[in-house]
Amino acid sequence: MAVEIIKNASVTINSVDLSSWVESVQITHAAEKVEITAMGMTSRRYTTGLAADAMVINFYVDTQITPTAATESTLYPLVGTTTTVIVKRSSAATSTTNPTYTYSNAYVESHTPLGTGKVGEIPMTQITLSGGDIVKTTS
Amino acid sequence: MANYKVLVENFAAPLGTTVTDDELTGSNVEALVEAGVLKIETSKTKTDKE
Repeated sequence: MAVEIIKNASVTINSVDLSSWVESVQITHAAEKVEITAMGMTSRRYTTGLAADAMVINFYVDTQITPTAATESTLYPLVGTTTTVIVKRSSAATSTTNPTYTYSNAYVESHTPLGTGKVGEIPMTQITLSGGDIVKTTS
Repeated sequence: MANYKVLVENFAAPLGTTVTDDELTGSNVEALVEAGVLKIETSKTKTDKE
């Protein structure tokens, strides 16, 4: 069994590469279930409903804008809008072992500019996306 | 069709280049302009001198 330690994930939001600020990323590729259980059946049956993909990304807060767009400037204007997010396990070329997950029409539900804002701690920011579709490519 | 100048180095296109609406399909252009990532380029009109 091969185990991989994630060290250099690539995260691009709205065409801006924010990989250097990413602490963690969680991709959820899901489908809603629709019940089709009918009389005479002895167990519940489901069929596929709508896609219910989602993504949660945690970043270190950085307010820098030039020459590099950082987290706050990129994320803040996106709340309540849709965008595209591209995530790879490693920044290396896309392959079967390093697939690209492209999240299109992702609705930016929320962004926490200061996280908990606790004294003595590094401020973290989180972005939560839902809706849209995640497509996996391997080449 | 609008053109935009890239103002940052970690955008999908290189710093200083010009990108078009077509190249930005799937991206939220308004948010990129608000973020200071892109700047709308105004077209220069030529006037004839008499």
